[in-house]
Amino acid sequence: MRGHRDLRLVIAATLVCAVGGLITPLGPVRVVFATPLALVLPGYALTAALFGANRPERLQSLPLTLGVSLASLALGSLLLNYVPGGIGGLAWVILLVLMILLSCAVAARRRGRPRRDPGATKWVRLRPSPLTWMLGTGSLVIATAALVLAQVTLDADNVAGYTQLWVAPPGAADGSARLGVTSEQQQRRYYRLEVEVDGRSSPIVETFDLAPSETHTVTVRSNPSASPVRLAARLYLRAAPHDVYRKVSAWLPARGAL
Amino acid sequence: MDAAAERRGAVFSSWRSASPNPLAVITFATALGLLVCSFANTLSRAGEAPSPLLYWAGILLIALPIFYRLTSEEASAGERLFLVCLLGLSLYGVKLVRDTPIFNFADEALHGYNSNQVSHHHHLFHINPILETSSYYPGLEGATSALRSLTGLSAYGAGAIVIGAARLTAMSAMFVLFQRVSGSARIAGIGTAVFTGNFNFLFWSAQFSYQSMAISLLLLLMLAVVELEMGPRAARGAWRGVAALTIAAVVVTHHVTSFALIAVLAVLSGLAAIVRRVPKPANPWPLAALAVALTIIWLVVVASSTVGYLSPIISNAISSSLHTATGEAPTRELFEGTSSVVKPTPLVPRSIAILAVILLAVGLPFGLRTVWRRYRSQPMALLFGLGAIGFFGALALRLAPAAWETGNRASEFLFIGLAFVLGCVGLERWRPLAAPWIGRALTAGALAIVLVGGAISGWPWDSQLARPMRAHSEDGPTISSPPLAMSEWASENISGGRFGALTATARLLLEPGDKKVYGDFTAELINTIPAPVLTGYRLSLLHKEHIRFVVVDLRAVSKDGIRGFYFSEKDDPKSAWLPRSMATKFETVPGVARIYDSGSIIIYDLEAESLAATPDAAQS
Repeated sequence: MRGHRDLRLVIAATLVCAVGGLITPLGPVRVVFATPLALVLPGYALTAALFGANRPERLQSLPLTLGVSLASLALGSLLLNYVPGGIGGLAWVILLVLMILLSCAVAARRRGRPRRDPGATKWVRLRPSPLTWMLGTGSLVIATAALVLAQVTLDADNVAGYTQLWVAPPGAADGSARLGVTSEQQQRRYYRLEVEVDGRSSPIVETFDLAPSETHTVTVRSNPSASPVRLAARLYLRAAPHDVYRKVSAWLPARGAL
Repeated sequence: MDAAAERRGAVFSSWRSASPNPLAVITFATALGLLVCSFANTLSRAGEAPSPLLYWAGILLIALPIFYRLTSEEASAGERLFLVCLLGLSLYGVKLVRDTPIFNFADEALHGYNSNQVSHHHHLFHINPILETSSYYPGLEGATSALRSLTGLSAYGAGAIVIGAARLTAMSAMFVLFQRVSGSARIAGIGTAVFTGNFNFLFWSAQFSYQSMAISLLLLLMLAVVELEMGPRAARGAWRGVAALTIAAVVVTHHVTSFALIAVLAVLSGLAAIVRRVPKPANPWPLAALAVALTIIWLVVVASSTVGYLSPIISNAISSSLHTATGEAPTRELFEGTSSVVKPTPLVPRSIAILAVILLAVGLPFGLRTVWRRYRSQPMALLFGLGAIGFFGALALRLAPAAWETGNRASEFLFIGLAFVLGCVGLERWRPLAAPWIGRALTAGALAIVLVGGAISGWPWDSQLARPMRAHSEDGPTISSPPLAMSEWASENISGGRFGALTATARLLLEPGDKKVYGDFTAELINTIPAPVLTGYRLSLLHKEHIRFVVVDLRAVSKDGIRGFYFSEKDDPKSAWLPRSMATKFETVPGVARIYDSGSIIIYDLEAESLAATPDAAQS
């Protein structure tokens, strides 16, 4: 590997990205390590191995590096699909590191003795003018602002709010059902909930108010019964107390009443 | 300093001067354009209905400076490569700032679900209940799984990065390919810029979907084939390796692209055999044979359902085209609204879209003439010429109701050829003494019209901007659109059981709901859910397919894979709602339970009583 500066850099970057990706607890920070490890380094290393001493032209490097990386990931996932443990973080790290190291070794062997490339140093001698620096930095900041702005949740007064009335399918364990009212309204609303359970003399009635995105839950248990018991719930808005606003129903499991 | 080093140095020489580099200025304008697009989308999500001019001004701010620079003589090849990559990524950014961020496109939910299945089970090939075929082509999800496993990102986050890399691959591969074929970086730059005007470029091909990745690999393969023919002899083995790797990756990623790949290689082999060149170049037939073999093996061993999936689409397209051509069936109305809530495209954007197609057609003969004069000894250039002509054939398919989608898919592949041919037109070289800039300005303007017109043709006018899926309520907390809230409720409260739902709700139940949901064509749900009465036959179909939960969406947009994900508006007309009998008919089923009601969306549990009677079954 001596003399092949690019290959040594690739190996160093691979090791840093692999270790960094494994030990960094924060997902967003891991992106910094994982993206080059998955989308850049495999393509570069495989291309270097394939081309050996006949290195591709500089303009060809970008599509080759990215495209070969994507292709190797697509095919690599097939390989991992059939190894014990399947597709997972550690398996990917091992596969990618092995692939890159092996490719670099093959590339170094095929290239033979390194030749000096007088143009290679040009890329590190960039001295942009202050104005260019400012424009470049400004571009990055503006593009980031555009992406952040796209993720902001805003007020939207024109959208129609609504309320969910729901009953989670009852569990068999205790013959109970969990009813819920979730407000997706624009403003606080006042509700009356009536729940009728077969076999009970009077309905359960609750009045409450909910702010937007709040949920009110009620757990309803059936009386002992040999067969499933029907539950019916109706929700009313305080503003229209006689109009059924939402309704749901459920069957409570039989609960040892023989 | 040798010549090569001098060329490389020249790419960035102006970075050392005191004035700002033109690339920096263009990049700044591009970033501003993206910000304007993001701002327009933000206003739209807030229900402010911004002027479409704001959004299109953002697009033009991104594209026009790049187009104008690409027409110049002085820009180096490296600079042009940078510009086309910047253009591709910035326009991809326009799609990203339209997202919520959440999957907004119908196909994204399918692949998001597949990606989630890989993450949950650590294996590929878990069945997708809505589009079974998609799970047999796991290349995209496999590649995404690497990023997801390593970072813990969501399907959306990792998918956005992978598709961004694919977009960068496609733009750079196309540029290098065009440059190698034409020998001109200027033609390559303009040709690649033309490609951004294909109808699907802005949105459809930017979504998290298998074709978005596969087409970038197809372009890399085409580059490899050209390098095999025209590149240094010593590097042929390497390019063969790249081609083989790419072919294998395309075969496991997308069915239609693998067929397109076979077609490309087969036609190239034929053209290479016909074209007489001295010395005779390498014929790519071994690669064509490899592509045929791998595709057949994959179809037989893994993805046999693909034939059943694609054959009705293709046969319907053929019969529909014939019926339309013979006058037995009416032509499809272009730019018309599909329902009372979807209005037709206004006259001005419709005119721009038509003007874009006219410009493409006007440029075609000039481009073909140049291709024939200069490049007719090159099989790839001839293939591009055939593709350019074929594009207008595919355009005609848009007039047949059942064939427009096939034509739309085909047009993206054919547009690669059209882009090269139009890159050869040479209008930018027109320099009258009175106004030497006129040729460049006209070329940049035409490119802008093609870009904007293509975007209008490719995506509904009323859906170019984002709509709210989440919003801050007037009291402050965040609320979600009815189908999104329903899918999140189902994700939290229901374990197991098969769902039956129509397009919009079905997609959101897949991702982010992560539910086993069956769509339109299972148990004839597309007819059963809208029907006013539930017949015994239809109920038996539901039981036969073990559909336990039926989701009835009373919004008129419920069957709309573009508009069905968002909030309704306070002043929606009555026609925005479907009859309530669609839902209440399920209450006649004995033992049914109505377990969810949000006004517009209602869920029925068809097996509620029977499972309550046998609690052990309910638990399982």
